[in-house]
Amino acid sequence: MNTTQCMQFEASLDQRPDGPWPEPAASHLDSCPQCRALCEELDAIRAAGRELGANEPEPPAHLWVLLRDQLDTEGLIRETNQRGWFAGWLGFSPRFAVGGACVALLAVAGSLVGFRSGSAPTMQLDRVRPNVSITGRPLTADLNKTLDGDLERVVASLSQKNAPLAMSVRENLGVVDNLIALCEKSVRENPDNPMAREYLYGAYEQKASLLAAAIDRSTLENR
Amino acid sequence: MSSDAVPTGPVARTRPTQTGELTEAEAIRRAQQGDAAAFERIYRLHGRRVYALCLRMVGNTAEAEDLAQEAFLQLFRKIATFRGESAFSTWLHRLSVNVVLMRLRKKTLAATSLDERNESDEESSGARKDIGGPDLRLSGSVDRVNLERAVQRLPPGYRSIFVLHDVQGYEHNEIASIMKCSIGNSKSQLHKARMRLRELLHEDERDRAREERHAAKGGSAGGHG
Repeated sequence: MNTTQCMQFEASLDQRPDGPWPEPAASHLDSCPQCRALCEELDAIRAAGRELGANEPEPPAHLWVLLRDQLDTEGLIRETNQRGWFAGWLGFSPRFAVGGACVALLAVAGSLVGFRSGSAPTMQLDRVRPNVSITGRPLTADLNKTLDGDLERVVASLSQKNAPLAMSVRENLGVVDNLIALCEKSVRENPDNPMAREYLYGAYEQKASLLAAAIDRSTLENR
Repeated sequence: MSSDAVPTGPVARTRPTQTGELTEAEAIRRAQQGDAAAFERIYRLHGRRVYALCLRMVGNTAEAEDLAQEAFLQLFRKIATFRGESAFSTWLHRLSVNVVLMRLRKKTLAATSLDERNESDEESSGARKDIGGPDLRLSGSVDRVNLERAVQRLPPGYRSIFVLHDVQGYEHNEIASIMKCSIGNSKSQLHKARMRLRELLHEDERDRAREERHAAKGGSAGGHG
């Protein structure tokens, strides 16, 4: 092994060409197993990096909710398109049949939080009066119990066929439940804040969507 | 917003038109007017990539969420000033990298007061030559978990370049634009990052081999005792 040549070779590595090696480097690589090994290891690291990149993780659904909340708070959004926002939530509940059940649940949630799911701009929300005032847990707790009971049954059925999927549903459920808890707290603290009610509605909607997706998958797995 | 604020050139090319959905350029134009749906469209177009960048850089989902949120907030606060001189994705990624680096810098400063180290020392030591050095060869492929762990141990500057180039697939000219450095510098930093990663992976292998030897010794000593 010629150490000087190896050092020269390594010094040229950072400007390594994409194509074949130029002549002096190529002949050195042929004759030096150590530099060849170095190049192979660097290639292996690069390939492993590419593999990491191929598995790009999905950001959690609540990230957009939090972000939008902040945008609203800062007054950056001057016009709200309710349908567009909820379309994102509903993107993973494709079946109309299950969707019907969710609509029923959402109607209950909507009446509880006093929010209308039309395309009313944010500016008009404060004119929507609550049908039922949320002062404590009982009503929302009942709704949550209904959703939890349904989800529990679906997840139990799913876990027999596809345990990792069932675990994933449970994890997502935990995230949504945290979000609901936060939103409920916010509504209790600011019962007249229409935005707090909007987000509680969104949180219930997300839970209903999760139920719809879980029922879908459970049906598929049981076929 | 006047029509001359509509981004042109790079922005218009960055995303294909999808039926029924806003193009990126249209979403930017509407977001500049405060349209909520346009904000969401931009988030849907770039959220995954920005979140992935943050996650690879900090290795922690909660912190990655926080950083991605901060990056988008900054983007939406400044979107009215975007005039399309550079590609929108480059602008967003520059902003995201800066948000992450600021956070890492704060962390490094906090750590410096504890262990008397600084990033520049760490980076220069990371580039040390090890010709004739490693006594173990990395096996044919690099384990993903080991690589992720090693990436987290890279100094922030190296980590940024490695994540942007090798993980997220950016070209050196794009990285040079995002990091505001020369293309040559980007190449050089990437090479140093890979060399440092190699060193860290070798350290891991040596540690594992040592532990296995100890375990074997312990086992045989236990057998005789």
